[in-house]
Amino acid sequence: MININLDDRYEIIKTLQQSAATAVVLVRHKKIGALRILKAISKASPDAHSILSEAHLLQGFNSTLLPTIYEVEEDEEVYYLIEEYIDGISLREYLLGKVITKDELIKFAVEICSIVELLHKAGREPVLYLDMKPDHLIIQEEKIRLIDFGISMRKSECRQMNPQGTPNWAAPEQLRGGFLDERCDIYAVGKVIDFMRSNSYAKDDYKLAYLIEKATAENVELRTKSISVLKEQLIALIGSKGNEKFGKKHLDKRIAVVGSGTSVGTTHIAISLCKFFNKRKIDTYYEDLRKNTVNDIWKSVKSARLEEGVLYHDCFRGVMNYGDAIEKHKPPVGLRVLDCGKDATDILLSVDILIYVISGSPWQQNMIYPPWIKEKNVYIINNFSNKITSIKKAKELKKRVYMYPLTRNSMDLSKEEEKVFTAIFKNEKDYI
Amino acid sequence: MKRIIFNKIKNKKDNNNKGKTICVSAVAPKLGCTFISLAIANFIGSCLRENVIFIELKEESSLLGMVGENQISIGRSIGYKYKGVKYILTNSVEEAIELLARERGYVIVDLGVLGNNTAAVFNICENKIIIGSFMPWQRRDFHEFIRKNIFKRFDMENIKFCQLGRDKKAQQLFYESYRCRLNNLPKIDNPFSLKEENFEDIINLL
Repeated sequence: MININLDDRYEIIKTLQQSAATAVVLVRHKKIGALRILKAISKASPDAHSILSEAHLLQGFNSTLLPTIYEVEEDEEVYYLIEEYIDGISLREYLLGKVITKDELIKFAVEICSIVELLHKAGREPVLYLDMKPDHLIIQEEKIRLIDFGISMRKSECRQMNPQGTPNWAAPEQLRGGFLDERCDIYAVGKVIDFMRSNSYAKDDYKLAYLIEKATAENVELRTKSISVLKEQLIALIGSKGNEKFGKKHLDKRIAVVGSGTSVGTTHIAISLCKFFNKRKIDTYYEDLRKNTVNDIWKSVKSARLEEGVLYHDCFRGVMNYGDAIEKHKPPVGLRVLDCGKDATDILLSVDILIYVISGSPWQQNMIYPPWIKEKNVYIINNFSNKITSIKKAKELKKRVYMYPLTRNSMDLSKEEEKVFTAIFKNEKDYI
Repeated sequence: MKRIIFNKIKNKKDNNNKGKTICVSAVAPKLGCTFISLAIANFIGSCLRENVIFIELKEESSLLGMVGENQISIGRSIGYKYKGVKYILTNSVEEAIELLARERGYVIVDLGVLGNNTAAVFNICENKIIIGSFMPWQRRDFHEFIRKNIFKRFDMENIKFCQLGRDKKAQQLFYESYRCRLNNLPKIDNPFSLKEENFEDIINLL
């Protein structure tokens, strides 16, 4: 098939792949001795344009993460493309018979995101890769590189696409054909991360599972918005681990208090928890993510003091939820107690400990529990309950359930409440 | 019986809305009427986190260029939303009165210089603020304005009089003349970027 006279420059080492219309050959440059890949495709082939489009797309990038294009030649029948030879093994081969750690998984995942981010933020128009799978990710000296840009396109060329891509890896909208955008690559990256997860020690990591679920949502609108967001979320997973390593103790840690429904006492428990830590000289700040609780407390409590966006009242410290017309302040440094109301989906990834509040009231018993409830860092508090209902709940959930005492004054912290928090945090490092 | 229940509900509704209509007026132009109104509206919207509508009742709006990017509809009126505050820029007294009667949240009216045509709006609002200056060359205007527009027309006790500057002697003199307190205006650098130190002064105004 290779008719052009390349003998003066290249020496054929091995044919890697060959079909009636295409060939991929490993060659060596005679003068400098470097190994290169020669791709040849017959002009009669319907995919003949792919070699040119690959060359055209890659010529604008100056990155070590992508292969370098050296030459494009043609004769009467065939197009030739000479590109960098990436020596290494594919991600699929790497994971054969090997179980990777969570750290390694996240490191690879972040690198994959960086490559796709590079393509999506390319010069004048985003480039969609469209063929992400473990076979196209080559591990070379512990770094990941992406190969095979045969079906990659500029975004504007993807308005009306014919169905293409690899089943099980490509996004559903890509396999159906039609309008495509950056989110189809996010789907495939999510699939690759899921593939790595199944060969890792992070199989049961709920934060990672949630992240993958978001990235691989069938509905495009519900999918992670951009590859940069996915990358940031992955980095945040390393970040929380990093703090533990450097012994920052309680600083910058986040505790989320989530209710199973409305009126289960989430806000009261979150405020009491904040007071509990401050009483023990651990700087703790309450923050309501859904409502303006701290602003309302400021309006109703007389002896409260405001300073740089924080409300101080006895042992309580709350972050004011100011609007745009108030001067911005730096967020205070310390432990954060986040009052999430009944919805924790968007903060799951960024918290260190989660307290799930359920109610012992008879009319609030038929609940569907979230899948992450059995995680180690999730503690369950049963509010408005007695011992019997708490024991029943513990049996049902196969997990310890802490009974929360009934309190009379909402702004005071009782000894019984302190006992509950002490019991929860006695096993957690740095908190008490 | 029905009527009694209806009146009870109506009274309850009225109580919920008590003190939520605020009118800011000045004895002369360029005394900072719009500036103070904006500070109050932004404080309510961004610090108290309550719904707030700002009505600029003037022939020519000075705020359109600043707040007019994001157009919204407020009932039958067309308004703009900027930094959490809804703005209605109108010269129609009727429209302002209708909004004051209809809206349940806070309504701040920037009335400019109080005149005969805007007196109706001034009268409807529960919180009335009048800004004046006690600088020697403006003192006479302030007294004349009160005698001409306020005295015997409105209940002086329901109006908050404020002075530019912090002249203590003027405060004493004002009290002796009208048996009314003369307040100092809060020192604010930018009504669209309030500081925590401004909050107390603004609360005292409300």
